[in-house]
Amino acid sequence: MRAPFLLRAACALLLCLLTWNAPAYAQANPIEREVKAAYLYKFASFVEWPEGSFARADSALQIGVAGNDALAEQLEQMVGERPINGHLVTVRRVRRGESLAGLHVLFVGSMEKGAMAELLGAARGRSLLTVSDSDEAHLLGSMVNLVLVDDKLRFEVALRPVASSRLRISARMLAAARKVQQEAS
Amino acid sequence: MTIRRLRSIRQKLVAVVMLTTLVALLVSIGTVIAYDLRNYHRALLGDMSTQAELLGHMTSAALTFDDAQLASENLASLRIRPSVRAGAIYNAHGTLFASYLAPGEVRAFPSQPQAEQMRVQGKHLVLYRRIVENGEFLGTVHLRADYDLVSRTIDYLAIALAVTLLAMLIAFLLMRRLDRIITAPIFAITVIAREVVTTRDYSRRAPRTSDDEAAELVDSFNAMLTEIEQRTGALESSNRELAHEAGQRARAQQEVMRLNEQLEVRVHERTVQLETTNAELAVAKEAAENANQAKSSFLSAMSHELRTPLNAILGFAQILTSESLPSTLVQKKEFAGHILKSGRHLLTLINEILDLAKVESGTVMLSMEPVGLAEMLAECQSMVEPMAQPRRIRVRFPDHCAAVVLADRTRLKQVLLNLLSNAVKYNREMGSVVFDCSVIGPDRVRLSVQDTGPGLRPDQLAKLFEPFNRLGQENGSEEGTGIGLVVTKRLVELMGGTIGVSSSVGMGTVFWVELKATDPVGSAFESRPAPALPDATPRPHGAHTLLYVEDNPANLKLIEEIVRFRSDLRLLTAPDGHLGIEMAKAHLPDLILLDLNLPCVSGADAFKELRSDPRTSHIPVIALTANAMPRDVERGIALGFARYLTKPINIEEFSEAINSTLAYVESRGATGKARQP
Repeated sequence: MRAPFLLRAACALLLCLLTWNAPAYAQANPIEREVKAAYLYKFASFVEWPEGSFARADSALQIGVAGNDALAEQLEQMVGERPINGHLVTVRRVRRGESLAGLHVLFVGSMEKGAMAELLGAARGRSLLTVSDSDEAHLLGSMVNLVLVDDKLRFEVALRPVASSRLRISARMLAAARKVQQEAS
Repeated sequence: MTIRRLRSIRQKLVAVVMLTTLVALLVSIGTVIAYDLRNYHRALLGDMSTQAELLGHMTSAALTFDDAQLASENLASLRIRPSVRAGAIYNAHGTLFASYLAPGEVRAFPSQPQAEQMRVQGKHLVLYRRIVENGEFLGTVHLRADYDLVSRTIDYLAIALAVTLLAMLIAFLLMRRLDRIITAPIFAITVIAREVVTTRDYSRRAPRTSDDEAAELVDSFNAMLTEIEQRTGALESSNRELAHEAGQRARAQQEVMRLNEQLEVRVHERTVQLETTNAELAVAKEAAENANQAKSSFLSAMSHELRTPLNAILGFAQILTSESLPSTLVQKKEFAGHILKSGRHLLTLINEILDLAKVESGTVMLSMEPVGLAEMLAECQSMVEPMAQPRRIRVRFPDHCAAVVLADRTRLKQVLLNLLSNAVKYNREMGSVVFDCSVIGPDRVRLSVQDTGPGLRPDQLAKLFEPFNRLGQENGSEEGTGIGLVVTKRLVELMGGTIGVSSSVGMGTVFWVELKATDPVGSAFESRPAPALPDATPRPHGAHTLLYVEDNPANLKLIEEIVRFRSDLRLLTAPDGHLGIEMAKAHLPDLILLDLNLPCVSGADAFKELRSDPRTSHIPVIALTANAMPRDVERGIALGFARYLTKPINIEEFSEAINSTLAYVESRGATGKARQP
């Protein structure tokens, strides 16, 4: 079980860096990228997919990354270290127009608004946890949106897209969310 | 156990119940407390464990997303658990991530989390638990909670004490009320038993108030009382009987003691009597020895007395029968006279000895009757005077003596003649004998004979009435037997009289006899004239035939010699009874002389046969026998003998008997002839 220890060490380091570093690093610095990758990875462990989402019990959990190849790379470095709920994690880079079938998590990175809407529209109705790191994407219908608050990476959750996706997000995760947007709003 | 020292069943019962209750309470309360404390401990541990688990699970998101505020909020939920005094979350790096403190608690957290554990530290339960989410170690939960087991135990103990006290109190009160159920019957028995013991009234009975073992006890106790009552009754009755018996025994003992005393007195009396008797016996023995000696001397004297006349008889008879000693007729006549005299003396001697023997043996028969003294004296006088005349002794009798005494006539005459003949015999020449007769009392008559003999000394007087004591005459010329006075004394005494003597030497002796006087009326019968004997003169009237039955030839010869001088008598002899009877029947004699001691047929039987035969029944029979005892004589007369002659034969008497009988036969024959011509 070396991997968890290493990961834990990395996370700790990351958290320390996040705490200490200035907001200047926010967008493109590798620590933020690593934390975002770790969050993506951890979100998967607080989410429950409906029946049939996995072909088999040990089928891989696919995380699709669109619009942020650096994050995809970061993720690819992390996956294989440890499974989530018995599923190995695979990373797939998603391009415009590609099918979203087989994906369980989709990160919507920075891209043009049309592509973003197209992508989020394609994800709508699917049992696919959509994560974004921009208010624009969040408004377009992403479920979880990563935000940087006081130099700390926090997240917001919108429950309306979650309800139609038949996903179940753990109450503990919701409790840790900075802001939870109810269905009605 | 102290319970056993308690004296009352009630106390014991209460003690037992209280003890039981206490034990039950202690066990149950102890069990409950132990169970509760264990439960408390487990529940606390489980609770805290669950709490830690829950907290870990809850804060796992906060740890995952590094949200310390969220963790603190999560920890703040511990407020609802006041027993949790402090809580803390450490992150995976062991750094304190979030913490919680109950109000009033001092902040004190270890800087580093410890290994997963749960331990009791003083009054606190300290817990560390790792938070592992999805196989990833996220951090550690630390909880510190109150662990007040001790205070809880103390509380429980206080409650237990209170409950115990209360329960004991209730049990005690209940027992106070309920023990009567058990103890009341036993107390009842106890009370009754105590009363029975003190009052000894076994009729008491214990009441039966229940149906349990106490009731059985009551029944058994009552049955026992009944038994005791019966036994006591039996015992008392037996005691009474015993006491009664004891009383009787005491009385019997007293009686025995009294009798013993009497007996001792009697023994004493008897002893005294015995001593007296012994003394008397000694005297009597001495007397007996004296008598024995007297008897010996009597026998020797008798032998001497009997030999003396025999000497004369045999001596002179030898001279008469001896050829070598020729004697003249005068001499022969003199010798025969000596023989005759000695024979008569011998006869007298024998008669007197026999008399004495009879008197001594007490076989003498007396026929007591009134006897007129006048007549008696006349007879004596006629018999004494011939004796006195040869020695010219004067015999004086009272002129008139009208007294009548109660006596045997014959024996009285014998007594008087003895005294008179003694007075004559032992008198001096030309002496005198005075007979006196005087009435000395209302019914006593004294007859006294006084002589003028030499008299007797006092020592001689003492031996006067012993046989063969011919006092003063031992060598005297007067013949005597020395028996007369002895017989006289006995006869007097037998007739109820007394005899006595007084004498003075040289002056003479007075013998006196006192007899009982009686009514003189009877004398009329006594004075009847003696039957007139037929004329004794034999008349030559033709020969009479005499049959003599006798076995002794000497006697036969004597009679033959006597009859030889009688020309008018013809004698037939027969040697025994048979022959005598035959000859009597054959010859029909006028008179039969019959010896009574005959061989073959006794004289009496022969006489009876003669009497029974009509041919001989009329023939008179004269008994001629040596059976000279008066009783024999009486018996012979009674049988019907004409006469009873005793040997030795007095020839004169014999001749008189023959003559008178023959005369009777003749007169009878004459009258018979006169009637039957």
